[in-house]
Amino acid sequence: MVKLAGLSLNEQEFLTDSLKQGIRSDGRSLDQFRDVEITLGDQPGYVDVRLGKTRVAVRVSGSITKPYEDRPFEGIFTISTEIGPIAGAFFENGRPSDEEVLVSRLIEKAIKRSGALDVEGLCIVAGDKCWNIRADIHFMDFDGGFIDASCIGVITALQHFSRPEVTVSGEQVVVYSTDEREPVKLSILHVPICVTFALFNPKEKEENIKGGADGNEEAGEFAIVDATMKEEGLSNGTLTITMNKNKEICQISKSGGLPAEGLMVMDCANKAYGIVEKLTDQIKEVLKQ
Amino acid sequence: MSEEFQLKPVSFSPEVLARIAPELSLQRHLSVGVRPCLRSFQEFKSVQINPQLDSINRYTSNQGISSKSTVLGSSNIKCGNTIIFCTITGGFIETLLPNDEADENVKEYEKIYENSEKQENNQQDDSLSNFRTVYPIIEIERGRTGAPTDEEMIISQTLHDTLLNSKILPKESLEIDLGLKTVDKDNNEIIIYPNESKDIDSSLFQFPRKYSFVLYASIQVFSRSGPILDAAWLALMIALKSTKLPCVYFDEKNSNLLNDISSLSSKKSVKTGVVNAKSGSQIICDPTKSHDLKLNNSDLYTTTIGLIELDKDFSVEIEDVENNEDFKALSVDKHTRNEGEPILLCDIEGDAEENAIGSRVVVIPDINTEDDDNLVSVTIIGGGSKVTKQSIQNSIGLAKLRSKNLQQQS
Amino acid sequence: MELDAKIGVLNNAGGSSEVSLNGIKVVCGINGPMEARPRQELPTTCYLEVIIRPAIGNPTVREKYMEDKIKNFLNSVIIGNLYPRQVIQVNLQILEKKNNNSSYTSDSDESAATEDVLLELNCCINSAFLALVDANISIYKAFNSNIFTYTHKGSLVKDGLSEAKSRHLVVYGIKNNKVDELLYGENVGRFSEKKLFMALERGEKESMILHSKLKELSVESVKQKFVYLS
Repeated sequence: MVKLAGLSLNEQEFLTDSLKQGIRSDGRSLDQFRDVEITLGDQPGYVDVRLGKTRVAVRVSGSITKPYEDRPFEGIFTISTEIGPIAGAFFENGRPSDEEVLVSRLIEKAIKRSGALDVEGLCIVAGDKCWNIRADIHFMDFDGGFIDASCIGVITALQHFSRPEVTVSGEQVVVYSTDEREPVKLSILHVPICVTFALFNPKEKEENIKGGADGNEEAGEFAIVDATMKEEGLSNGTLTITMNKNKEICQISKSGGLPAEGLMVMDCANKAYGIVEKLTDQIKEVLKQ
Repeated sequence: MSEEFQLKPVSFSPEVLARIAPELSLQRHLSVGVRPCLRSFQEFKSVQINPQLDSINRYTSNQGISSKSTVLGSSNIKCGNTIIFCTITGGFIETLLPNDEADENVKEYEKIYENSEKQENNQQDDSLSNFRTVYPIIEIERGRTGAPTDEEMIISQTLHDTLLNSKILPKESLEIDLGLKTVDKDNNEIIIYPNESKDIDSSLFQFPRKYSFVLYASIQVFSRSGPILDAAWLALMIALKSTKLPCVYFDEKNSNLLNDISSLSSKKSVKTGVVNAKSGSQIICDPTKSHDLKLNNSDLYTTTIGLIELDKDFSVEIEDVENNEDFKALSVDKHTRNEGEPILLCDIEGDAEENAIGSRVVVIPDINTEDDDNLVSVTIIGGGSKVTKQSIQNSIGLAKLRSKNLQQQS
Repeated sequence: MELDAKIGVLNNAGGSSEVSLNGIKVVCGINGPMEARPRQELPTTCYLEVIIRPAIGNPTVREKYMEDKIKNFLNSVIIGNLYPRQVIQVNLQILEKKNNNSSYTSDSDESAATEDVLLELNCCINSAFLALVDANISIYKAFNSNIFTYTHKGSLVKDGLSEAKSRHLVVYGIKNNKVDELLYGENVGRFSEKKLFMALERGEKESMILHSKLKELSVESVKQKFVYLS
């Protein structure tokens, strides 16, 4: 993300060294996810997610519009991810950096492309009218883990949101206000959750090139779950795995130059599953209230 | 040996001084009772409202050619040295029916849900949602093209909001009563409209969808010399007054073509919902017939007044100047104002005034009403000199006077 | 509706506040004073950047317009001479907004958006004040904003109802615990001169009441930040 914002060399060295020994500055173990606090707003579709010091608010809204011409039977679902300077002065207004673009691509892949929202159910009159569901993600405070937090936020907000009921009679579409008829929940097909790992290479750069005479050489690189801003800045690469409760991987993305061993990814996926299970239950619990 | 050191006074030409020290330049001018633009304090710029450009309007020109024109109304005004052109164009959108206007079948079903609250809503015809506005685009000529400047964006939003808040464009004015193009007994093509033909069965005009107009205003400003809100608003008002909306009809014959044409529409404007070709292609604007745009009130004018306090530190001795021959020719304001009251300046103009005047009062009075409630909008921007009650009252008085003058002119 | 405010809600921002008022919730974060980009740099004073983001959708001209309104008077409140060639960034994120129209048609959204400008400005201004205090930025005077409406029957009430005859947003500057001057006033609808001044007078009174409340909040936050003071 933001590379080493304001970190001195001493601090950098200290943090990486302690990570190598399995100690994190906030006292978590390497594979421990920060506590997630999900607050629902008074209005349907508003969710406030806190992941440690990271804070993200998601607002889901709906309006009636015309479907895209090439997809007359589908509603429209858009996710807006613009990071403003409120999250930290290093985010520039109106000019997304490469990392920010990556964040929005990943969130879109994790939720929209994985088919979490049933867009066909949003169609009112084929080719003419459909619902446009919009998720606005407001990033408010940044301490790493934007992807994970926004994913939790969007998927919770989608389940929290309900749209007014609509009936079609002939060519007329009637929209009922919420006091007239009970609003309708969106149909969510599955609940994808993102877990991001930060990859570290304890050795010098050159030593990481593997494939020496004996393939058994210990690679040494390791992954930590849910990095903070400082850890994110120090890491040599990231791995984001999106899974749902059915143990299906919806999306996997590894970025950064560090080559990682295949088995490690497997290991990460296993760890991710544990976290996903816990978070899905937490979301369910929150929504019950 | 110590060197002789002397401070030489630096002098600047008035233009340079106005740019680098606007406050100083303005204070010096005001202390002798004259403004940098040589107008007196409460003198407005002369406004010249030119006859509208009939030849570019779709419905007022005599030339057949311009029926292809998309301009529905226009204006051309000159305010001081600033020239403003305003043209009104339009489009139409499908209006989603609120459920109390939906067709009978639904209504039956609806009755269960009907409650007293809904009736209450119907009574409030004063509510803002019963009024419409236009979408203005302002271009201030600055010698190059590019993204709109902040000023342009802010003024266009101000015009948009003010027009809506002043409630002069009711929703009904923009609603379309669809006519019908059909064939009569002799197989001639005719177009009939519901309001002109009483003897025709009104069931002919039962259309499943309702449409209404959306108006856009393009305002071009040349040689800007100060804040242009007042002039832009005036241009918009005059253009709206001259606007003629086309009569629109539904073409029975062409309604089968609709699938071929649907691919033509590429606009995906969600906000204004530009009508889609599938349902819109049969809806056609009459090339000759039109009707006036109905406005509730077309005599609203904005007046911006700048407030500035005289600062004694900057003042120039009057005697020095009064002997000057050039100066005698000017009309000089002998300020007979109370201490502590700011000077009111009308029609802010030039660098010095624009940059040095922090406090402004923008007033829109309604001069046509007999009612006590004769103000539509008063915006007070403080921060410069102190805005006193007296100065607000005076500003409102000036604004009313100005509005009456403009009313006579237009 | 009662104002509900928290100070210091964000970690990265220099100062922050969260205010809910009249069904609108705003988070304000202030960055700076910090180094300005060359384009923004002013030799003798600070460059003030106000950024408003709407609850739904991308920022539009409407937000630009609101930014301008706030910037206009904020420039005269902040002691800019103390921060030459620096930039102070006021970020306002509108989070929640009650929408009383449930018809979901585009045109009623439109008028609601215009109608809500004053309510949003009201909340933003109060939030900006608390955040400025939290960010330790020097200001000449305190300020706060109140909104009043005249009902159709002609009575003056605090806070905006949508079906009012006229609406008045008044921002007063407060110096030495006394109302100092009118910083910003936006009055729309149909009203008389007398009503205008009555609303302004009422605004003076209410702004003192609101001020004592905001002051209490900011004193509390300062106490928490500087523990050694107590």
